[in-house]
Amino acid sequence: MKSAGSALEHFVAVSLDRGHSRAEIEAALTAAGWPMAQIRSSLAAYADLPFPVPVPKPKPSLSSREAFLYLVLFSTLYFGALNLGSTLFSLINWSLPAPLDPAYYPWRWDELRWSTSVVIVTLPVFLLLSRYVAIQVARNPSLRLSPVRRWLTYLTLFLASVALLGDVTTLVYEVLGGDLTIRFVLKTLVVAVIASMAFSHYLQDLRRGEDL
Amino acid sequence: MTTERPDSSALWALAVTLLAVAAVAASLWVHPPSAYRTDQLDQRRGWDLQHLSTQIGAYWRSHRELPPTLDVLVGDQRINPRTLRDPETGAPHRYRILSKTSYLLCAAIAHPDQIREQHNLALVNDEGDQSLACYRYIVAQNGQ
Repeated sequence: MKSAGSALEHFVAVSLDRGHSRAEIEAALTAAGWPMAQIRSSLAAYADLPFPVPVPKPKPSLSSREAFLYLVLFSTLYFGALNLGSTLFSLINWSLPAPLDPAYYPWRWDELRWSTSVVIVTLPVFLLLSRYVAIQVARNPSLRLSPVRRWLTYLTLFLASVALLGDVTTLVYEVLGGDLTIRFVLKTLVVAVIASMAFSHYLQDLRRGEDL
Repeated sequence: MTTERPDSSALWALAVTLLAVAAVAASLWVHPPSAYRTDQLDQRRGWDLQHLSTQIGAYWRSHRELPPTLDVLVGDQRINPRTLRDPETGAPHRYRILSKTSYLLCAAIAHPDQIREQHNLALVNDEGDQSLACYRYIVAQNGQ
């Protein structure tokens, strides 16, 4: 991967050096089967200046500040999403008690209290950080190519897909067992809604990144 | 494309906010902070009664009779005097001897059924004070 990337950069540098236009280089690379995102980013690595030698631009590199921002952002997303699900599960258990539930179990309320507290704390942090990152990216679109951002976005897609697959599998399992209750369907719906919201948002985000 | 981007993100953020706010509001509605406080006070009352019954059982084993009053247990340094009083109002928990081996312990428990289930107690009606929840204990049967 690294050698392919440096081969591409080398090719772009040599072509620009020999006086080929950016459109020509893009066409050649497209014909060779390079993905558009990589072509654009390799061309964007050189400034469009009337200087005889291609002038490299500073590369977006993984800074510790960026890693910090994205780690906090995605931790609040995961922690918040899990506890939002837990809050909704507790509410479903409360509104539709199962016949086998013990009449009194104090940990039910403690669970709800804990998950509610997590949602109250993580939601504003997540929204503010998302907004901050979105503004930064709007100013400098090359930040979309940040490796930590891409890795965490793909990890999010992976986790959301696993949650959805597990959710649907559990649904099928319960249907096959003939034990489908409203309570169960609602819980399945909760997981489906939360996982789909995360999945669709970050998939769209990645696609925007590929448009660069 | 550029005009669509912020809109879809803003809509997504709005949907996330609405879902989370609805969940938090529902959570606070079904069990508000005052209910958590009541639960905690009830827990403390439940443990007070549990502790008192254990010490009454210990007294019974050594004296072969029930203590005439709970203050006797404090005099024996078996219990902390705080255990005798309601954690919220400071009113004393009530103790009444029913027979040679059985007695009632009463406390101002808000949800008597919950404490009954949690501590596996017999909840009984006592004519004395309707505001207190009374539980019947038998020393010979449970060995306490």
